[in-house]
Amino acid sequence: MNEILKTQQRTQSYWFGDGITEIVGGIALALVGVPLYAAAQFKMSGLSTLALGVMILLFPASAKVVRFLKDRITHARTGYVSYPKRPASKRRRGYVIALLLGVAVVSTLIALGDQSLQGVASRSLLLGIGVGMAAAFLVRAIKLHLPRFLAPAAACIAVVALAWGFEFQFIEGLALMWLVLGATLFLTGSMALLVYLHKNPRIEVEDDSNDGI
Amino acid sequence: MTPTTAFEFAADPDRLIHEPARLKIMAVLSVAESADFTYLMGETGLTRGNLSVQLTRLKDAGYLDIKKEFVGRMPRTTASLTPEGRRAFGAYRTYLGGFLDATA
Repeated sequence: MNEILKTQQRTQSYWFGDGITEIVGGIALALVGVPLYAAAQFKMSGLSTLALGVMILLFPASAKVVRFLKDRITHARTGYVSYPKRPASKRRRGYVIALLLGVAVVSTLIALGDQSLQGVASRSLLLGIGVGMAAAFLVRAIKLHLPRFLAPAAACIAVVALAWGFEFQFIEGLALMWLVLGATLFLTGSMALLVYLHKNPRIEVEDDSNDGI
Repeated sequence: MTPTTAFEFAADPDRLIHEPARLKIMAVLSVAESADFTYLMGETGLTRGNLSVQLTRLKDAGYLDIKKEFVGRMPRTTASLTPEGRRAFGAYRTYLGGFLDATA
Protein backbone atom coordinates (compact mmCIF):
# COMPACT_ATOMS: atom_id res chain seq x y z
CA MET A 1 0.00 0.00 0.00
CA ASN A 2 1.45 3.38 -0.94
CA GLU A 3 2.45 6.04 1.51
CA ILE A 4 -0.41 8.39 0.57
CA LEU A 5 -3.07 5.75 1.26
CA LYS A 6 -1.38 4.88 4.57
CA THR A 7 -1.38 8.57 5.51
CA GLN A 8 -5.10 8.84 4.72
CA GLN A 9 -5.93 5.71 6.71
CA ARG A 10 -3.96 6.92 9.72
CA THR A 11 -5.82 10.24 9.55
CA GLN A 12 -9.22 8.58 9.27
CA SER A 13 -8.57 6.39 12.31
CA TYR A 14 -6.72 9.07 14.29
CA TRP A 15 -9.74 10.04 16.44
CA PHE A 16 -9.90 6.46 17.74
CA GLY A 17 -6.17 5.80 17.92
CA ASP A 18 -5.70 6.88 21.52
CA GLY A 19 -8.60 4.85 22.94
CA ILE A 20 -10.04 7.81 24.85
CA THR A 21 -13.40 7.70 23.06
CA GLU A 22 -13.78 4.02 23.97
CA ILE A 23 -12.79 4.55 27.61
CA VAL A 24 -15.29 7.37 28.13
CA GLY A 25 -17.99 5.64 26.09
CA GLY A 26 -17.44 2.39 27.95
CA ILE A 27 -17.79 4.07 31.34
CA ALA A 28 -20.96 5.86 30.20
CA LEU A 29 -22.53 2.63 28.95
CA ALA A 30 -21.64 0.77 32.15
CA LEU A 31 -23.02 3.59 34.34
CA VAL A 32 -26.35 3.29 32.54
CA GLY A 33 -26.26 -0.50 32.40
CA VAL A 34 -25.77 -1.03 36.15
CA PRO A 35 -29.00 0.64 37.40
CA LEU A 36 -30.93 -0.72 34.43
CA TYR A 37 -29.81 -4.30 35.17
CA ALA A 38 -30.54 -3.84 38.86
CA ALA A 39 -34.00 -2.51 37.97
CA ALA A 40 -34.68 -5.64 35.90
CA GLN A 41 -33.38 -7.97 38.63
CA PHE A 42 -35.06 -6.32 41.63
CA LYS A 43 -38.16 -5.00 39.81
CA MET A 44 -37.57 -1.44 41.07
CA SER A 45 -38.90 1.13 38.61
CA GLY A 46 -36.98 3.89 40.42
CA LEU A 47 -33.73 2.40 39.18
CA SER A 48 -35.02 2.45 35.60
CA THR A 49 -35.75 6.14 36.03
CA LEU A 50 -32.25 6.61 37.45
CA ALA A 51 -30.79 4.85 34.42
CA LEU A 52 -32.78 7.05 32.09
CA GLY A 53 -31.65 10.17 33.95
CA VAL A 54 -28.03 9.05 33.84
CA MET A 55 -28.34 8.42 30.10
CA ILE A 56 -29.88 11.84 29.40
CA LEU A 57 -27.20 13.65 31.39
CA LEU A 58 -24.20 11.48 30.71
CA PHE A 59 -24.26 10.79 26.99
CA PRO A 60 -24.08 14.45 25.87
CA ALA A 61 -21.57 15.21 28.64
CA SER A 62 -19.33 12.35 27.54
CA ALA A 63 -18.58 14.14 24.25
CA LYS A 64 -17.28 17.13 26.22
CA VAL A 65 -15.23 14.82 28.45
CA VAL A 66 -13.66 13.19 25.39
CA ARG A 67 -12.68 16.57 23.92
CA PHE A 68 -11.30 17.72 27.28
CA LEU A 69 -9.12 14.63 27.64
CA LYS A 70 -8.00 14.71 24.02
CA ASP A 71 -6.92 18.36 24.31
CA ARG A 72 -4.73 17.51 27.28
CA ILE A 73 -3.44 14.07 26.31
CA THR A 74 -3.53 13.54 22.53
CA HIS A 75 -3.48 16.97 20.91
CA ALA A 76 -0.54 18.03 23.07
CA ARG A 77 1.45 15.02 21.81
CA THR A 78 0.57 14.27 18.22
CA GLY A 79 -1.70 17.13 17.21
CA TYR A 80 -5.36 17.69 16.42
CA VAL A 81 -7.53 16.20 13.69
CA SER A 82 -11.23 16.98 13.66
CA TYR A 83 -13.76 14.25 14.35
CA PRO A 84 -14.64 12.48 11.09
CA LYS A 85 -18.11 13.83 10.28
CA ARG A 86 -20.40 12.24 7.77
CA PRO A 87 -21.79 14.59 5.11
CA ALA A 88 -25.04 16.29 6.11
CA SER A 89 -27.06 14.41 3.49
CA LYS A 90 -25.89 11.04 4.85
CA ARG A 91 -26.65 12.12 8.42
CA ARG A 92 -30.17 13.19 7.41
CA ARG A 93 -30.69 9.87 5.65
CA GLY A 94 -29.51 8.07 8.80
CA TYR A 95 -31.99 9.98 10.98
CA VAL A 96 -34.87 9.18 8.60
CA ILE A 97 -33.96 5.49 8.53
CA ALA A 98 -33.67 5.40 12.34
CA LEU A 99 -37.07 7.09 12.69
CA LEU A 100 -38.72 4.71 10.24
CA LEU A 101 -37.15 1.71 11.96
CA GLY A 102 -38.32 2.95 15.36
CA VAL A 103 -41.87 3.42 14.12
CA ALA A 104 -41.83 -0.04 12.49
CA VAL A 105 -40.54 -1.73 15.65
CA VAL A 106 -43.03 -0.04 17.98
CA SER A 107 -45.92 -0.75 15.62
CA THR A 108 -44.93 -4.41 15.38
CA LEU A 109 -44.67 -4.77 19.15
CA ILE A 110 -48.09 -3.19 19.62
CA ALA A 111 -49.61 -5.34 16.86
CA LEU A 112 -48.19 -8.50 18.47
CA GLY A 113 -49.47 -7.44 21.91
CA ASP A 114 -45.96 -7.29 23.39
CA GLN A 115 -46.01 -3.75 24.75
CA SER A 116 -44.48 -4.90 28.03
CA LEU A 117 -41.37 -6.12 26.19
CA GLN A 118 -41.48 -9.60 27.68
CA GLY A 119 -42.35 -11.83 24.75
CA VAL A 120 -40.56 -13.44 21.84
CA ALA A 121 -40.96 -10.32 19.72
CA SER A 122 -39.02 -8.30 22.28
CA ARG A 123 -36.29 -10.92 22.51
CA SER A 124 -36.09 -10.81 18.74
CA LEU A 125 -35.75 -7.04 18.96
CA LEU A 126 -32.87 -7.48 21.41
CA LEU A 127 -31.27 -9.95 19.02
CA GLY A 128 -31.62 -7.43 16.20
CA ILE A 129 -30.08 -4.64 18.29
CA GLY A 130 -27.15 -6.85 19.31
CA VAL A 131 -26.46 -8.02 15.78
CA GLY A 132 -26.79 -4.47 14.48
CA MET A 133 -24.30 -3.14 17.02
CA ALA A 134 -21.91 -6.01 16.34
CA ALA A 135 -22.11 -5.25 12.63
CA ALA A 136 -21.40 -1.55 13.28
CA PHE A 137 -18.26 -2.41 15.26
CA LEU A 138 -17.19 -4.91 12.62
CA VAL A 139 -17.53 -2.31 9.86
CA ARG A 140 -15.56 0.14 11.96
CA ALA A 141 -12.82 -2.44 12.58
CA ILE A 142 -12.47 -3.05 8.84
CA LYS A 143 -12.80 0.54 7.58
CA LEU A 144 -10.48 2.07 10.16
CA HIS A 145 -8.03 -0.88 10.27
CA LEU A 146 -8.49 -1.16 14.03
CA PRO A 147 -8.92 -4.88 14.79
CA ARG A 148 -9.54 -4.18 18.48
CA PHE A 149 -13.11 -3.20 17.53
CA LEU A 150 -13.72 -6.89 16.88
CA ALA A 151 -13.78 -7.37 20.67
CA PRO A 152 -16.92 -5.26 21.31
CA ALA A 153 -18.51 -6.86 18.22
CA ALA A 154 -17.89 -10.29 19.75
CA ALA A 155 -19.16 -9.08 23.13
CA CYS A 156 -22.49 -7.98 21.59
CA ILE A 157 -22.94 -11.33 19.86
CA ALA A 158 -22.05 -13.23 23.04
CA VAL A 159 -24.57 -11.31 25.14
CA VAL A 160 -27.47 -11.66 22.70
CA ALA A 161 -26.72 -15.38 22.35
CA LEU A 162 -26.78 -15.69 26.14
CA ALA A 163 -29.96 -13.61 26.41
CA TRP A 164 -31.68 -15.66 23.73
CA GLY A 165 -30.58 -18.96 25.25
CA PHE A 166 -31.66 -18.07 28.77
CA GLU A 167 -34.77 -16.18 27.59
CA PHE A 168 -33.84 -12.87 29.21
CA GLN A 169 -36.44 -10.16 29.07
CA PHE A 170 -35.73 -7.19 26.85
CA ILE A 171 -34.65 -4.71 29.55
CA GLU A 172 -32.52 -7.29 31.33
CA GLY A 173 -30.80 -8.33 28.11
CA LEU A 174 -30.27 -4.75 26.97
CA ALA A 175 -28.80 -3.76 30.33
CA LEU A 176 -26.47 -6.75 30.30
CA MET A 177 -25.36 -5.89 26.79
CA TRP A 178 -24.55 -2.33 27.81
CA LEU A 179 -22.65 -3.54 30.87
CA VAL A 180 -20.58 -6.06 28.94
CA LEU A 181 -20.05 -3.71 26.03
CA GLY A 182 -19.06 -0.89 28.37
CA ALA A 183 -16.53 -3.11 30.14
CA THR A 184 -15.11 -4.36 26.84
CA LEU A 185 -14.74 -0.86 25.41
CA PHE A 186 -13.09 0.32 28.62
CA LEU A 187 -10.55 -2.51 28.42
CA THR A 188 -9.75 -2.14 24.72
CA GLY A 189 -9.62 1.65 25.04
CA SER A 190 -7.28 1.45 28.04
CA MET A 191 -4.90 -0.88 26.20
CA ALA A 192 -4.92 1.45 23.20
CA LEU A 193 -4.21 4.46 25.44
CA LEU A 194 -1.27 2.70 27.12
CA VAL A 195 0.23 1.84 23.72
CA TYR A 196 -0.35 5.40 22.48
CA LEU A 197 1.30 6.96 25.56
CA HIS A 198 4.24 4.58 25.28
CA LYS A 199 4.78 5.44 21.61
CA ASN A 200 4.21 9.18 22.01
CA PRO A 201 5.85 10.67 25.07
CA ARG A 202 4.88 14.23 25.77
CA ILE A 203 7.07 16.74 24.00
CA GLU A 204 7.41 20.48 24.41
CA VAL A 205 5.21 21.82 21.61
CA GLU A 206 6.35 25.15 20.23
CA ASP A 207 3.93 28.00 20.27
CA ASP A 208 1.85 27.77 17.06
CA SER A 209 1.57 31.53 16.89
CA ASN A 210 5.16 31.60 15.58
CA ASP A 211 4.43 29.30 12.66
CA GLY A 212 4.87 32.06 10.11
CA ILE A 213 1.47 31.82 8.46
CA MET B 1 -9.20 16.83 -23.62
CA THR B 2 -8.26 14.01 -21.26
CA PRO B 3 -4.50 13.29 -21.35
CA THR B 4 -3.70 9.77 -22.53
CA THR B 5 0.10 9.68 -22.74
CA ALA B 6 2.76 9.97 -20.09
CA PHE B 7 4.06 13.17 -21.74
CA GLU B 8 0.63 14.75 -21.77
CA PHE B 9 0.20 13.84 -18.13
CA ALA B 10 3.62 15.32 -17.29
CA ALA B 11 2.42 18.64 -18.72
CA ASP B 12 -1.02 18.52 -17.20
CA PRO B 13 -1.00 17.71 -13.48
CA ASP B 14 -1.59 20.38 -10.93
CA ARG B 15 2.06 21.19 -10.14
CA LEU B 16 1.04 22.73 -6.86
CA ILE B 17 -0.38 19.43 -5.59
CA HIS B 18 2.13 17.23 -7.40
CA GLU B 19 5.00 18.19 -5.08
CA PRO B 20 5.36 15.36 -2.50
CA ALA B 21 5.05 17.40 0.70
CA ARG B 22 2.02 19.34 -0.55
CA LEU B 23 0.50 16.13 -1.90
CA LYS B 24 0.71 14.63 1.60
CA ILE B 25 -0.87 17.75 3.11
CA MET B 26 -3.73 17.59 0.63
CA ALA B 27 -4.11 13.84 1.15
CA VAL B 28 -4.45 14.29 4.93
CA LEU B 29 -6.94 17.13 4.63
CA SER B 30 -8.98 15.32 1.96
CA VAL B 31 -10.10 12.79 4.61
CA ALA B 32 -10.38 15.17 7.58
CA GLU B 33 -12.37 18.36 8.06
CA SER B 34 -9.30 19.98 9.58
CA ALA B 35 -5.92 19.17 11.08
CA ASP B 36 -3.51 21.26 13.07
CA PHE B 37 0.09 22.22 12.53
CA THR B 38 1.49 19.60 14.91
CA TYR B 39 -0.33 16.75 13.21
CA LEU B 40 0.67 17.92 9.74
CA MET B 41 4.31 18.20 10.85
CA GLY B 42 4.18 14.63 12.12
CA GLU B 43 2.61 13.25 8.94
CA THR B 44 4.75 15.15 6.44
CA GLY B 45 8.05 15.01 8.35
CA LEU B 46 8.65 18.64 7.44
CA THR B 47 10.30 21.19 9.66
CA ARG B 48 8.14 23.94 11.08
CA GLY B 49 9.47 26.51 8.64
CA ASN B 50 9.13 24.27 5.60
CA LEU B 51 5.56 23.31 6.52
CA SER B 52 4.66 26.99 6.90
CA VAL B 53 5.96 27.67 3.41
CA GLN B 54 3.98 24.80 1.87
CA LEU B 55 0.78 25.74 3.69
CA THR B 56 1.15 29.35 2.63
CA ARG B 57 1.54 28.33 -1.01
CA LEU B 58 -1.59 26.20 -0.86
CA LYS B 59 -3.45 28.95 0.94
CA ASP B 60 -2.39 31.56 -1.63
CA ALA B 61 -3.68 29.27 -4.39
CA GLY B 62 -7.05 29.15 -2.65
CA TYR B 63 -6.81 25.45 -1.80
CA LEU B 64 -6.60 25.83 1.98
CA ASP B 65 -8.20 27.82 4.75
CA ILE B 66 -5.97 28.51 7.74
CA LYS B 67 -7.56 29.27 11.07
CA LYS B 68 -5.85 30.40 14.25
CA GLU B 69 -7.67 29.97 17.53
CA PHE B 70 -7.09 29.41 21.19
CA VAL B 71 -7.92 26.18 22.97
CA GLY B 72 -7.80 27.21 26.57
CA ARG B 73 -4.58 29.17 26.66
CA MET B 74 -2.85 27.23 23.90
CA PRO B 75 -2.87 28.66 20.38
CA ARG B 76 -3.81 26.24 17.64
CA THR B 77 -3.39 26.69 13.88
CA THR B 78 -5.62 24.43 11.80
CA ALA B 79 -5.81 23.92 8.06
CA SER B 80 -8.77 22.70 6.04
CA LEU B 81 -9.45 22.26 2.35
CA THR B 82 -11.60 24.83 0.59
CA PRO B 83 -14.21 23.60 -1.91
CA GLU B 84 -11.76 24.62 -4.64
CA GLY B 85 -9.03 22.62 -2.92
CA ARG B 86 -11.24 19.53 -2.79
CA ARG B 87 -12.07 19.90 -6.47
CA ALA B 88 -8.40 20.34 -7.34
CA PHE B 89 -7.39 17.26 -5.35
CA GLY B 90 -10.19 15.24 -6.95
CA ALA B 91 -9.05 16.37 -10.40
CA TYR B 92 -5.45 15.47 -9.55
CA ARG B 93 -6.52 11.97 -8.51
CA THR B 94 -8.40 11.59 -11.80
CA TYR B 95 -5.33 12.62 -13.80
CA LEU B 96 -3.19 10.22 -11.79
CA GLY B 97 -5.62 7.42 -12.54
CA GLY B 98 -5.47 8.31 -16.24
CA PHE B 99 -1.67 8.26 -16.16
CA LEU B 100 -1.59 4.83 -14.54
CA ASP B 101 -4.08 3.51 -17.12
CA ALA B 102 -2.01 4.97 -19.97
CA THR B 103 1.17 3.32 -18.76
CA ALA B 104 -0.31 -0.03 -17.75
